[in-house]
Amino acid sequence: MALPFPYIYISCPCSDASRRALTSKRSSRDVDIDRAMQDDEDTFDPRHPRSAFSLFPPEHLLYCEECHEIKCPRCVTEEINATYCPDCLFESPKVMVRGELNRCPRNCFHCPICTSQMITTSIGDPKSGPFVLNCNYCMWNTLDVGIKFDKAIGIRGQVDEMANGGKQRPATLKSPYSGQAEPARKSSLSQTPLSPGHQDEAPDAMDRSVPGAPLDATARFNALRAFYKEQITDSSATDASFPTSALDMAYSSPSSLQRIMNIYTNRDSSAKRSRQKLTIMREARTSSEGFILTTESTKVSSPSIDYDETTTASQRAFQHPSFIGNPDAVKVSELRPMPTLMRTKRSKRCATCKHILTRPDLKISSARYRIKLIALNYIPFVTIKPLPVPGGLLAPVPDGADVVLAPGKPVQFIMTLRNPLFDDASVSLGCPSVTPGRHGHRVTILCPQFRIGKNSDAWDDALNNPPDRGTLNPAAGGEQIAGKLYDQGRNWASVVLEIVPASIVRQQSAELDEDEDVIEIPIRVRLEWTVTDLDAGLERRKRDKGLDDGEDVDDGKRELSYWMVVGIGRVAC
Amino acid sequence: MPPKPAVRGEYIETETGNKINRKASVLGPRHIILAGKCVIQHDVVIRGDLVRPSQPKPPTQQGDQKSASPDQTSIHLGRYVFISPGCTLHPPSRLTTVASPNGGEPQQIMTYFMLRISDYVYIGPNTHVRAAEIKSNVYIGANCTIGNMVIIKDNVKILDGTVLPPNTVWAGGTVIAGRPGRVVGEIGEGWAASGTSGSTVDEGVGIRSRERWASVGNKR
Repeated sequence: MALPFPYIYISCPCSDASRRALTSKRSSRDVDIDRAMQDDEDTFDPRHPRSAFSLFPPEHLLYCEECHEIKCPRCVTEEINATYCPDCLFESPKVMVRGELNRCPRNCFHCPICTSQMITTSIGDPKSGPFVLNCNYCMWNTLDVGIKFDKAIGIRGQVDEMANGGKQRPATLKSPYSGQAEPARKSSLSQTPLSPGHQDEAPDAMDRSVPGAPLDATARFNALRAFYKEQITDSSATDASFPTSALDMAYSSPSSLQRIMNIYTNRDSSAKRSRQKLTIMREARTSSEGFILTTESTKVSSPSIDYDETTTASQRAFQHPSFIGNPDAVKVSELRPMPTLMRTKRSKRCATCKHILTRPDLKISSARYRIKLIALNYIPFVTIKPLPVPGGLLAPVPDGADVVLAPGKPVQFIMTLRNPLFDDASVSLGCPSVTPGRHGHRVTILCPQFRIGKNSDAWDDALNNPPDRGTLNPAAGGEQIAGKLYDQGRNWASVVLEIVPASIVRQQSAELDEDEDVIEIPIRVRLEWTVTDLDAGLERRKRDKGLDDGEDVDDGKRELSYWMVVGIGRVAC
Repeated sequence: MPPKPAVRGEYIETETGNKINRKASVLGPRHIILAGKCVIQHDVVIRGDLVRPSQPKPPTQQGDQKSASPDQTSIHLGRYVFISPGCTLHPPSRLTTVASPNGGEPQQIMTYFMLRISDYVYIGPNTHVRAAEIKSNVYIGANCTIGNMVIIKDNVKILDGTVLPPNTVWAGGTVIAGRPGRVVGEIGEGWAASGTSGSTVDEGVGIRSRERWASVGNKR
């Protein structure tokens, strides 16, 4: 219940199990109608544990023009259009993002203590430095861990140099492993593992050149990564069904999924093949491969640390070993600033018909969309406020206080629906007279069926309607008449919603569940409209020509129904 | 003789539709621009007096208010900006090095910059804003602190009680919460109007801002 009252949630039909069967078979209309009627009969319960997965705020919903359905974030697939750093707002090309391990390659860092953004500041001459990274929230700076920079730009590069012991970071990720450690690794199979001579291999040498153990962790991460990658390559070289590209493959791409599915379907054959040539994947066992023995010394040091200097679990989790980070940090002084993680701009496609639903502008600085098919352009935007009657509820003030209703006392609300469509739409609202759940609040919609006008030019309002609108219901403040709209305008209509909250009787011992006192009303909204738009006409003609084989012809009639959940307020208890 | 309270409404309403509560303290109004349909509620403090001294003149003349040229703006609010009770709008500042007027050592002085807030911005009660820029369709909750020189991009929702540290930049399309603020989610595509198609379609933030604007004002 993060949203303030009154709030609106809309249930995406995708989670409805009966609906799934319905969409798969579109052939017979009768079945559809039967199902639809059945659907309408069982009331949506907003408190059902499964409901939480299908309820979305309206602004998160999209609309697919091909399927004529609302699409929630679960029924779309996403594609990355651009990757950028959220702090400096620079875009990075895809290759660079991979090379830099999905972190900002420039100057953006985050504080290891409080995760806030860090600012480069000078601790000497403002122009020539030296510079440090400073956290403006907790006042931690890199001097606390003894890091200073000579230049104010290219901080990431300077940190990389430090992480590699004063050397430029090689272009490949395997740097410490493929570099000086190469001969040692080649011989590792012939030698006995864990021989004492191995302790002085390359990563340890690097360890000595740079003070502090955390740098070792980065080298080890890379070494382990490279080692296991090679192991998998070796062991699966004979197994054609498990290509090496699988290591780097994106699981979201359909071709990769196809390949994975092949592994399962060809299981028998691949099992036979693997029996013929059995290759055993071994574990890392030398320090050059990134293996490390937990020695006594690392454990012994811990009791002498002051409690205030120890790290929290979240601080350690923030330290990613792929870079300078030290996930084993025991003391605060072992923590390192982490470069900012990149963010993406993504376009969304309908998962069923692959139709593009949103595509953002490629420019990072622009917040616009080239394609944006949002549900709010198709379904009415609903606002709710208390009926202005003497002694009634006051309009909610934006101070975060909850709306509290007295039990047993009828309260009336005005629900306004605004039509975003360019055609008149007829709306029918259905809601159970008693809300589902443990406490049945009585709900009445005084005018459940009405039409709302098309969303046309705002000037039409002034030209067609005399400015005396609002006089439709002169008895405002008095008794509301059932079956009559409260108020109406160019593309909106208001209906009155009456609620009699049930009193919540509580046993002494029984604790009230979280948000049990919240009144949530499920309302079935059903819209019908006929598309008269030019584009739709073209589309229709195209279809008429193309599909004559029994497929139902698009006559421009649209119908949409969904459950909407309205959170009104809390019951006093 | 005291003026009749019936004549004086609670709000000053301007021709462009700005509604300014009489209990708000607006300092240095000549340096403040309201684009229209803004609401400034009671107990709001707007420090328009903290303005950058005109550049060529030495800082000795800054007390001379008459010399303030019209281009000196310290606070700019776009259309449908709503400032809730108890807020403070304070222009951001930075130490800048300027050459001393009498040819001595260059000295560092505190310079105020412009606080620029774009359209459809809501600022919740008791929030302190010292940002450099807040773009359109930004919702800032109650009891937040927006630090010095913060830049907030389009379509951002900041939940109640968030603290944004000074000099930070917040990319658009996110939900921010916590102390210090961090990104906790994304806002949906339907959050704000696209503005490209030129349609008259009202979307989330736009409608709410308009209704919020319409709900305050003098009782008639």
